[in-house]
Amino acid sequence: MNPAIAADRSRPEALLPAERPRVVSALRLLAITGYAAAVQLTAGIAVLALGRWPVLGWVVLIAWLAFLVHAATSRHLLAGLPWWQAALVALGWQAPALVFGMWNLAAFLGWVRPLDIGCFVLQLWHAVVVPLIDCCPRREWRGVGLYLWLWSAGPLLLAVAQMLLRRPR
Amino acid sequence: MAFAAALVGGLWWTATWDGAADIAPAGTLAFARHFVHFGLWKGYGAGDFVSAPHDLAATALEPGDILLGANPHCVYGYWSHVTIVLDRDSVLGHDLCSGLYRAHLAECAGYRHLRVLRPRLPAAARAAAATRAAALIGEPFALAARRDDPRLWTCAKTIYAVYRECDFDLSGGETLVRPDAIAAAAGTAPVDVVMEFRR
Repeated sequence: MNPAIAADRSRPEALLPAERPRVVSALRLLAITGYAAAVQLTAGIAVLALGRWPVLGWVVLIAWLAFLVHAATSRHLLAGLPWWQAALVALGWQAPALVFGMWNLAAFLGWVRPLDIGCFVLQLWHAVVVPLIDCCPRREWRGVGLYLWLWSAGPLLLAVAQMLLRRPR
Repeated sequence: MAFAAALVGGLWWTATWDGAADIAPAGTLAFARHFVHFGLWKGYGAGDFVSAPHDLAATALEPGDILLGANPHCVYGYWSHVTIVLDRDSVLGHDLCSGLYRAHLAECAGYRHLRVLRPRLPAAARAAAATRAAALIGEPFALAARRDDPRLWTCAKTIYAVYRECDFDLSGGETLVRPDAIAAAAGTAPVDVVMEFRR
């Protein structure tokens, strides 16, 4: 092989044009998804750890809501992606809670058996909303607490809200 | 990338735990590893129920009595569950997917080992504790509820909270109160074991 071409191929920017954007995009999507999930899990752990001081839980929740707006409007996060890639990130970010939240809703409607492990994962992934859950009226619908409906539908609502809010600043 | 590495490393760390299934270790990290290993990877949860339930209906339970239930393969200690008798036929029910609710006494009859504790208090004080417990029906149940968090509840935290007002600290000093702590604290606090069932 021509030494000039071999040297050129050793540089990342010399990858085939059709491959390079795809690889970079996949890594970027993973990075954004992991970053958003890490922020949400950290906020949730903080809300639980600060349980003795519920006011501080509200502070963490408000900071997390500000992060949601930031994620939806920043060109470095969702707003910088085509709509289908942004949808992938929003779904990946909420994936564990989304799967078990949907399962919970199906269980509440009597279509499947409830899964304890699913409720546990959902509660941990969305622990950041505990201050909101605490404010939810203690009423029932179809024999299930209103807060449980809200907690289970939350991941889907959040993913949809992220997509609707998404616009570059 | 750091998040993915931490996640994969954490899952590997829990998957490779080789402790005994029926002994939950005391240290926080070891307990977390044991809990995730047997809870997530082995699916043990609150343990296996016996097929033939105990006949609790014939017993003379009183409002405010504490019921401890143990099953093999419980991921968080020897005792799988603890609850309080609300009236002759019902106890406070706890469930991840239902929250706190009024449960029939028969729901507690399937444990391999059942122990009934009765705090040495006047019957009126124990009945008041049962009333406080009944007032919690409809509250959210979450396994990560801290002892001092007023928003979330576990079975053991409920018992701790309703008797704390009678100067009974049944938490054993644990931040995340487990049924084992209630059982251990009952050994030092003025509480009588009034009944015991084993299979």
